[in-house]
Amino acid sequence: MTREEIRQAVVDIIEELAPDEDVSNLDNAVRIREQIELDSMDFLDIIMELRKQYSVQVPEDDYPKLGTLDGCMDYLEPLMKDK
Amino acid sequence: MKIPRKKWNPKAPFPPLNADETYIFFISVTEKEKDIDTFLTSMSHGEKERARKYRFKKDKNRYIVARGMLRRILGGFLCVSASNISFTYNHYGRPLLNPDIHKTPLEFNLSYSDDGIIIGITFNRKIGVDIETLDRDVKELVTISKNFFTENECNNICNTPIKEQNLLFLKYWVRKEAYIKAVGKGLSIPLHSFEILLNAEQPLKFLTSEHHDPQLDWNMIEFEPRKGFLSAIAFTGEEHSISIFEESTRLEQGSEYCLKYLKTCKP
Repeated sequence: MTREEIRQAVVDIIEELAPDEDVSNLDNAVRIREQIELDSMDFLDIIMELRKQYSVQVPEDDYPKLGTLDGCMDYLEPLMKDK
Repeated sequence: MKIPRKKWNPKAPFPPLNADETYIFFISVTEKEKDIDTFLTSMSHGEKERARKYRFKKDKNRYIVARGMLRRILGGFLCVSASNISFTYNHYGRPLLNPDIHKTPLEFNLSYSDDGIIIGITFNRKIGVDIETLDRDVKELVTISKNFFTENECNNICNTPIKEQNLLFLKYWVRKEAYIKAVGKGLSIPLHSFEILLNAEQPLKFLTSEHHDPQLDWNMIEFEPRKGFLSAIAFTGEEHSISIFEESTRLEQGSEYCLKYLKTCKP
């Protein structure tokens, strides 16, 4: 997957989890939780969906790296390049 | 134990918070929305920027009320104006009083869910709070439990009648959240590395030595700060009293807070 495809995959998961939130034009550089209301349980849902849909395992120590969409793309790119 | 009730005027000095006390404040976002302009004037540039970035008014208002009330309450206890409260953030994003500005052993933690905000204030001990709405319908709670909770916790949830699983999950969740927030490392602490013991004298046990300090003595209390909400507080330290404050309906007319109840914790 390309970076843009990874971004869209993460946004799709968020949209599925929080259908009431407006996920269009999320700023890649700003923390996701500072733009839309996601709590810790929602965050674990995202981790679970990445595991379920793309077989990506994210260890707890790396959770802070997924705070922004830029961070998600940087972290997931090597893990999802063959997906 | 009979629960004493007290009131005071917040324009007067805040009631003294002694070293052996913890105060928890419950705030309703909708009841404080009329004060949003005042709250904004007390917020830092960074906080205003963050408020501006929220896409929905409800999220923005909740953030402003939470920050505004946190500043007002901390300012009340530290005898400084709300705008002079200075925050810093640890590596995991947990807000703390800036130690370069505030030479105080005061500790605090904040949580919000839907219309409810709780703020815990104490001295010289770690504190974490969490709040959830009781009507939160947790999707895939069994899957979350299997993936992130301990085996015993997961079994307890799975072996509970389906209609009671949601509440049991939330009971585990608010306690786990309160604990990881008190430690200050958030979800970087694996939720399966410690087990919540719901009906035991000991509130939790560590399943790994990593991430946890076995020297600290932890306690937890679960409570409903207002109908429809479930909360937990996690804290370290010796015997002390915990008071939960809620603005009385008369606050709007007479500016009074109401001490909803007092609970003495004897670990």
